[in-house]
Amino acid sequence: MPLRRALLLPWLRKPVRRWQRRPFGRLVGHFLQKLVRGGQDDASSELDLGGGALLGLLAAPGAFTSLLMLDKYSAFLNWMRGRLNDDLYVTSAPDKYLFLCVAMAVTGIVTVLKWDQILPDQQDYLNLAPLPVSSRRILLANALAILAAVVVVAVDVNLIPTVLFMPALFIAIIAPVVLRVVAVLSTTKGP
Amino acid sequence: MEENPVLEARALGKRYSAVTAVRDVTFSIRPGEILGFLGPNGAGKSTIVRMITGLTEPSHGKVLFHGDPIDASLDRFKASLGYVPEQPDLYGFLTGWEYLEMVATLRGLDRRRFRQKAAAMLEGLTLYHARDGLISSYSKGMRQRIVLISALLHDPELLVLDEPFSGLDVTSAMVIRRVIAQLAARGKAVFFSSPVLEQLDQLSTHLAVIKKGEVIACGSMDEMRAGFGGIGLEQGFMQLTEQVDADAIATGIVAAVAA
Repeated sequence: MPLRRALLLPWLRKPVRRWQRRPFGRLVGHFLQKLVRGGQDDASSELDLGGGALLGLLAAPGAFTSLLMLDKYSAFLNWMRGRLNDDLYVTSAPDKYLFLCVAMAVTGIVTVLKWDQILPDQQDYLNLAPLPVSSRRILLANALAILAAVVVVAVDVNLIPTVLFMPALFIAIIAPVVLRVVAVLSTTKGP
Repeated sequence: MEENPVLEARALGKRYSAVTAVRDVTFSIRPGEILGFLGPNGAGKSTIVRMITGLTEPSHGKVLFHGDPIDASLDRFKASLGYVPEQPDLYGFLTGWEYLEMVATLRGLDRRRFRQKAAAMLEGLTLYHARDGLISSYSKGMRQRIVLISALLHDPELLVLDEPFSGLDVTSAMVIRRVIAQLAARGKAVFFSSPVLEQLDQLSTHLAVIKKGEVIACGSMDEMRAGFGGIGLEQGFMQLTEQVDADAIATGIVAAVAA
């Protein structure tokens, strides 16, 4: 699976591969795979997305919103516009809520798209029930796979905004302070 | 001296609310025996199969594996069981090889042994070239062969086959028939359900006939043939289950076609 290979750090690949060779690890991997590739069954007519495309699509709203906000929070542009005294804690509050809403909306959309794969279904029953694996382990593996998927989606949805928005906001808040400190220091410097 | 049964069903019954699907079914399978389970569609064969594989709990009666109830140690029982369901619903997003690898891992099979066994079985059933294709692109016969391989990978002591030849081409069916016969000769116990008498006649050492959820005849093939007298197995089966005059019905259909 190229996506898994791309996502896993080299030092993590070996232990993950070893873990996947154990029955429980294989089961967790299987349910994760089913969450991502489950739509490829010929009987299914739902929107079919591979792992990479899905992660890209989920990250897109946050990324675009963050890029659009660079204009608003650019310290240099704000200095050019003469807006040096904005309270950024107040002006950034709606944007923080927007990101929260985007993250929740995206998670909701993913849940709607994949809702039928959240619990083991009839196909799992037919394939896994005759095997010497207890139903408790099957349910636990499925729950772990969902947890892992939730973590991946949460990181994916929030990673780009975190990288772009937070430093931008931080710089926007810190830059005027630093500039003032520099200015004060330079003017108070004795001969 | 007769060997102890590998699998025993004692007075098995299954009720779905007001409907009785299976009533007081009793049989046993010993090592080396192939028990053919014959009955018309809807007679309760698949319900019995699900009960003896531990997938459905019987409403009454017991299933014993080497004398112990299967629910006492279901995982141990399943580790010795090879099961081919009537309608396999395989994961279409996996390749044939990935599916077999998953089954082998969940059965705790060593990877090297798995690779050797799977490759040989895929080769034998002419699926090796298609092993890396997605199962969703497989034909019904190819899926059936994959399920058969997955049921045999761990060298099970008991094989339960629910209409295993459906969708198979002539060659594959012939190969599978011989595989089953040779496995039985090596001491495996085989339960084989089918609505087609010819398939059971060619393969079974014992036969049970089921009608409306009840076993109406059971015994070795020789006993069954002797019991039916000179009329043959097909006629005997018809008399037991359908109680219809097939010739008269066929004449009526042909007359309707020609009209």
